[in-house]
Amino acid sequence: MATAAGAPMVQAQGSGKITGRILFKGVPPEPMKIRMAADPRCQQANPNGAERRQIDGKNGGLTNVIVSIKTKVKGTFPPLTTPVVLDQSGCMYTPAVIGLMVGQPLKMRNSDETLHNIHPRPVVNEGFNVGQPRKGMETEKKFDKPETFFPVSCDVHPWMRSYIAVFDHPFFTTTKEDGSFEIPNVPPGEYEIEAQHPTLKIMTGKVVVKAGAAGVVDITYTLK
Amino acid sequence: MSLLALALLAGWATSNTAQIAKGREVYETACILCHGKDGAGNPEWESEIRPVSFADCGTTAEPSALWKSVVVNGGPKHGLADVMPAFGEAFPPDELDAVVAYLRTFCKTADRYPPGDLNFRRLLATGKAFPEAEAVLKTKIVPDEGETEMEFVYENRLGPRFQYELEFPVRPAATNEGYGAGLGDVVVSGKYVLAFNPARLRILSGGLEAALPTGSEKKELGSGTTVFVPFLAFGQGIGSTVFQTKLSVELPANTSKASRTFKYSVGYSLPPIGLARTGYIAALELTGSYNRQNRSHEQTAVIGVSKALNKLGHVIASVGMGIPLRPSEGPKPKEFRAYLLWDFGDGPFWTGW
Ligand code: HEC
Ligand SMILES: [Cu+2]
Repeated sequence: MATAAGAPMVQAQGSGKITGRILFKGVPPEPMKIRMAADPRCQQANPNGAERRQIDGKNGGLTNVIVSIKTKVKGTFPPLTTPVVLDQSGCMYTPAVIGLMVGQPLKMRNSDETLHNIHPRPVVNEGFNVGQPRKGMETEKKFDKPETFFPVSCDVHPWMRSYIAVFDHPFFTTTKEDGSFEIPNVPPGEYEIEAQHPTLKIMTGKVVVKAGAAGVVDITYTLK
Repeated sequence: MSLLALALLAGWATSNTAQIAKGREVYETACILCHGKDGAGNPEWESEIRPVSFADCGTTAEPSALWKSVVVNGGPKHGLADVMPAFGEAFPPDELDAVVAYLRTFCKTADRYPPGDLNFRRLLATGKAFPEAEAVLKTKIVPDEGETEMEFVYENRLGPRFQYELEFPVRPAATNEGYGAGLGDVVVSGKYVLAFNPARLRILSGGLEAALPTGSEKKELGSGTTVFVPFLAFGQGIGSTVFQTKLSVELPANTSKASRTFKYSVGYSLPPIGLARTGYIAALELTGSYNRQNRSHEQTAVIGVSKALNKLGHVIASVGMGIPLRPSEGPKPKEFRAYLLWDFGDGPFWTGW
């Protein structure tokens, strides 16, 4: 693969890293009950009903946040080749948020005995809508431009919804249950980082990374 | 009863029970959650965009090739909503055929309707056999004679096989000879599908036109008498090419104003470039009229090309040229022909772009 500027391809191999936590203050909204009457097979898969938590996490931390470096990092980064799996299981999507590199495959898998369709609605990238009528079906697609969160959903089961962000570099990650994160292989420098959450606005923070060391940054959301 | 007789009785929409069973299985796994048990949409399904009801027998006019392409490529490929997913290679060809055959069973009387697969692309000179719900704007320009004719045609269906039609010819400007503009002889007509065979790709219709003396005789816009025109129209698919023909006799009520004329037109459409529904189709036609009384025989060769202007393929334009072949003596002014049609049976003008 050639690069536009003729610069050599660099793997993300800086010696530093960025760590921290994404936190929230305030009372999260009640989880929403999901009504699965449209598809009896989804009801069977969720005998006790299902719900969706918009704000989720432990110990004040916020999970399902994608944290990324916003500052331009020197070098050109070849697309990661390992596909990210979006699984459809029990008529729910896992994971709830997906970070992808430009050109990195998104592997969509149907693990249910029912029909799903995967319908991302990007603005910058080209959208698609693939139907997967049978269990075990897999489809791979790629996005070719960086873009902040856009929804991906199933039109058959409107409650199925995840969010995808696409980056032109590999410096991004998803927060764990407790809101903690770690972006490895960061070259030394001063960075602005960005946090994206499906329903909250984008927040930024600043951090300095020294060679071989971790730059630490926390970002706190205040819920209204 | 022999198997053959059974198959004939069963008709096109339910041609094969094994296929229908397979189609039903595909439908119930992949379509029923949106399109519903009865093909009219699943009432439990939450969506602002509701699919067409396959139980509506008007959908028999949709060609199976279009429906298959919608299933494989998704709604947006044909200008439909993006809620209709693309199933890509999820179904092998036999399952695709089967599910479309199953969709046809939602209209209980589908066998009585000629299927949309027999709705061959309209030609510039040769009339169609298929009953249409269509508005067409046609024009013919003969530059050497400074003549322009326009015709607005409205066609609509009644029941499975009947179509009525109104034609309003107008001359928008005076000709070289100085005659004025105005409305010509308005034509009212009815057409009935006499026979069709989807497996053999053929359709035969017959009908009667009446050209009413609404055009001014003085301005040479009308004949001054009612002219009755019984006709036959036939279409035959041959692989991906199509042969169409229309034969008619003009029978004037008052033979001192006009004379009996036999008219014929045959056309051959070449294989489409792109999809049959939306792609380019070139066609050659021969159209003529023979008048026994004054032994005149006029004949014109027409060469034309047509193309859908939108993704749904229900707005189509065609342009072409006519080259007079007969009479062999005298001037042979070239003519330009064009039409713009909107198949309103398929949806509003602005959908499907
Ligand atoms: C997620 C819901 C959904 C699923 C699943 C789905 N469809 Fe559709 N389909 C639609 C909607 C909505 C439309 C209407 C689009 C429009 O009119 O713009 C449609 C349109 C169509 C059309 C075009 C009809 C016409 O003439 O306008 C066909 C054919 C069709 N679907 C067949 C199928 C088949 C066969 C399957 C199963 C293999 C299927 N659909 C699965 C939602 C769905
Ligand atoms: Cu689904």
